[in-house]
Amino acid sequence: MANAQPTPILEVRDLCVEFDTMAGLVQGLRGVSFSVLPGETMALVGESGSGKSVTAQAIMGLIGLPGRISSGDILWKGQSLLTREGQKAAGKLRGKSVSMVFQDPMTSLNPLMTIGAHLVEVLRRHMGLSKDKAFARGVDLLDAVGITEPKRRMGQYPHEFSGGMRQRVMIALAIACEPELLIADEPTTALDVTIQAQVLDLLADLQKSMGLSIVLITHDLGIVAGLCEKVAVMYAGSIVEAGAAETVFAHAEHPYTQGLIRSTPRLDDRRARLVSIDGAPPSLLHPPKGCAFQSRCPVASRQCDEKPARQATPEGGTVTCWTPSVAAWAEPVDRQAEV
Amino acid sequence: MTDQSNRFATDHPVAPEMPILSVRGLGVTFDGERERPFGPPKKIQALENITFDLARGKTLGLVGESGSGKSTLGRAILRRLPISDGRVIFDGKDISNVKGEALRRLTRDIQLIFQDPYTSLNPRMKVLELIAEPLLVHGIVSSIEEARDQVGELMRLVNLPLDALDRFPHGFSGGQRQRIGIARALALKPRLIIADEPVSALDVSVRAQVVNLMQDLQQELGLTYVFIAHDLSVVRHISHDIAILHRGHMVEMADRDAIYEAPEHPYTKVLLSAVPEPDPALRRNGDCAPEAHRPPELNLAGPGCRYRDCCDKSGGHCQREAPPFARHGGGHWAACWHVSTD
Amino acid sequence: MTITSTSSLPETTLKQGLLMSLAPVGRFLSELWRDKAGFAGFAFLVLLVLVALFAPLIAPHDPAAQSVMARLKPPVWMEGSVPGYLLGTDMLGRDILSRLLYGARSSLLVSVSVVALAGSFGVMAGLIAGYKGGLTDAVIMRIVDVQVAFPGLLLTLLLVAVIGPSTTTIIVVLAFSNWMIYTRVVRGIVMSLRQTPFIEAAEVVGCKSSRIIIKHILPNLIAPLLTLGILEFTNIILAEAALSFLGLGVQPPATSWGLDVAGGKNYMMIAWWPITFPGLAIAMTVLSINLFANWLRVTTEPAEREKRYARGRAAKMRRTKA
Repeated sequence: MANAQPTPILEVRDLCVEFDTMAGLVQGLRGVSFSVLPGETMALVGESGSGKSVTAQAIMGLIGLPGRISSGDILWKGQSLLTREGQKAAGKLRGKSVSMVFQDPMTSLNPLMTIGAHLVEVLRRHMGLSKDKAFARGVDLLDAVGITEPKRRMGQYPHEFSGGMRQRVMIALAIACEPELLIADEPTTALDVTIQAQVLDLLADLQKSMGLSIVLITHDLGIVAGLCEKVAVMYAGSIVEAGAAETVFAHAEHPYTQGLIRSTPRLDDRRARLVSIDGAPPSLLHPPKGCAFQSRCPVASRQCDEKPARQATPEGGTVTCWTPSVAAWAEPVDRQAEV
Repeated sequence: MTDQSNRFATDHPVAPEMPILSVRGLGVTFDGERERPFGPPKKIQALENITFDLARGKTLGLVGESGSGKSTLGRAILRRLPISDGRVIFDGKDISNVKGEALRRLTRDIQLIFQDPYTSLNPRMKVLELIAEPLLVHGIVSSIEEARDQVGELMRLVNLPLDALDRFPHGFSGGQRQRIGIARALALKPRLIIADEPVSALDVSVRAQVVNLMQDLQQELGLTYVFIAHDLSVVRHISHDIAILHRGHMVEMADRDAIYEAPEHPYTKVLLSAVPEPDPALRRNGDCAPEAHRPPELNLAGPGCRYRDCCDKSGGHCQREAPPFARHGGGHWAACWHVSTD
Repeated sequence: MTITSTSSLPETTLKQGLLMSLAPVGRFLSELWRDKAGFAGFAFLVLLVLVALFAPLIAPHDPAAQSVMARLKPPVWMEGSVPGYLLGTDMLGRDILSRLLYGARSSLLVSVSVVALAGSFGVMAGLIAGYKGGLTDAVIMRIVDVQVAFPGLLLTLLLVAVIGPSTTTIIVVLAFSNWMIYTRVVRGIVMSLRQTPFIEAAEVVGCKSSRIIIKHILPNLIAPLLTLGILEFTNIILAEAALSFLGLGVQPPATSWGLDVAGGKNYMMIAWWPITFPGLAIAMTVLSINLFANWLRVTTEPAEREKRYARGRAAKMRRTKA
């Protein structure tokens, strides 16, 4: 990301988030930096606890007690959202220019309100439409996310929709105000595979037709490829590798990324064993001083006791590792390190 | 170790030796809502006419989406649900009607691994207690402390550190918790383990840990698995045979490579195409499932194939009559009129 | 933080063993100290219990000793008071302070017994109803419904009229008319717990019903029951006072705050103290219990507890910055 590029729509700089828990200070994010250009789709990939959802919450201003942003900055088109003036602007921005889709659509819909009422409310509040216009626009939106008979569906309640349909409604709500950036936090984790494929297709279509920027948050590298141009892999509260999706898949530099790719099951894979990243991520209550992946890394050396610096890769990405691009994982079963 | 496909050659559902589990024409119905007050409740057919055999030491992958009845089938084999039709035969004994103390003793032979390792472990029990509990309630040990050695052995088996014994489950990651769940299931030395989506709640990166562990345990202990999954992405690596469930019916069953390389039922093909391809270079343009607007309820009234409304091959025959679950050469079974029978 | 970390195991085991025995008490007090209202409530309750236990040692007079010469004497800070009678005397010349101290005894005795009695019966019924379900559940819950629908005071009056008033009667009667709330609460929790996978996990390994109830369900009931029991305590204190006020509860020569309020009522216009002090005692006790229960409710809910902790930390940080 060294080359001069157009102003990013969103830039996150060295963001740190801490959680004050009774057990001690948990470092949820430890210096996360990335940027999203207009019309770009980026995936934040990581295990649970890696900080990917915390990043999304920080952008949406949803970090509440016991968490707080301790340092770093979030910039919207070059303007900080964390300064005092920025915070005022951020309130207007969120919900209109930036919107979010969550994993579980049921918890974000009011069970006592019809789908139409949800849409009309958002459209009237943020877009200032009249009641009739808002309704008409709501019907268009449901149609746009692939819901048949949108007029009839407007009068139905959330429980009358299946999981996949509810997620479509959530997407319709999220794009109602014609946002410039959509953050999708595990949007398909709760859905069946066939429905997951549809929802991902829908997101890709919307991205093309509306010129949306999308940040897709997921633990499943498998769903990234179909949608995203850029990938950032998170581990233990920081980004360990970032770059264009194709190059990251083709030449993963970080041992963790390599492991993630190798452990994602593939249909054409006839092997009886999967590659597995043994062990568990470190606790962010007492994060290790050196490389956070050290304890699980098959090619870790003494060097890794110190924190590696972020460096550029030949393919234009970044990686945080002392020994990037070493083939870290041996063929499965036989896991004697070849170093 | 790399190519084990010849070992997996089986001829199901009719296995040569006596299978450890035989399911014959199994049906399960639930009570739905009453149509009128005080009237009889509507019957919802959750499973209908399920038949298969499972040989000792093998794994049957059971794949279906939500509402397919896959978990119901697992619970029916465990006899945690009343069976309305058919029989479940475990190790030559008909267990369709066991009750009470006999049913409790059955838990020594058939165990369950849960989907969610976060909610399936009692948060107020230490790891030692959790894993020793099955031994205690079956009178194999008389106190938790007496079980410490046995539990330690189980911990070694599932690759958990011994110092974990006296900790509570909340300090562990999802993968570690699932290992605790597996150790607990293994404690009674069961012969059949039903694994109900054991990796669905885990991160993709740790799924491999659990799947590999289950394979190792199968080799070491000669276990038989029914491995339930909601998609076709992991089952290939662990299963010998795979059965596809759709709305309470088995629509296809074959050995694992046949399912992936020569699927017959249109629904199996949809499931296969829905698994996302991780490599952008190989990215296929996702053909969408045609099931987008199906009604949510399970019950599909009338005769005919249950898949008819979602199928692009659906013809007159499919509307009139449901296709039988029939054998199509070798060990390949499917329920579809559009597949040639032999 | 006050207590040892869980990560470093081997070398700290010795010290831990020592600390373990004292740690919970210290942790409890230091956390309670941060909520001043809750702490005040707790302190008052501790005081009350001590007073009730040691009433014979602290009370300056016999609570039943009458003195015709010293009727309706005001508290010591007022004119016309008699030395030695700190809070004055009532219409029979009995020492109000001593009566308060002894009154705490009967209030606590009645409430503790009633909560224990009604609680154990109600919890048992709720456990059975929630766990067995079906017909058993239906029968138990209909009994609960019927009894809830029946006016509690009327039932109490009826029972007291039949059995005759005494402290034992009041305990039995109040327990009889207050067990239903435990049943309802417990049944609700048990029903939702039954759906949780870890209960199924217990069934799948072959646990018998008794073990599931005792080992898996009951521990999860302790936190909500603790809060409920403590709040019920206030109801019982008030109910006992009301019954004694009506003359159906604690009988003289035994004392009770309710009884004293009733006695003071007739002289309210000429002497405020005989009715005010027992009234105040009732009010303070109920308030303290509520303050403490409020703190306890948050403490037994891990997420709420974390939030409270973080709020405290944030406030501290603001203060140090300012």
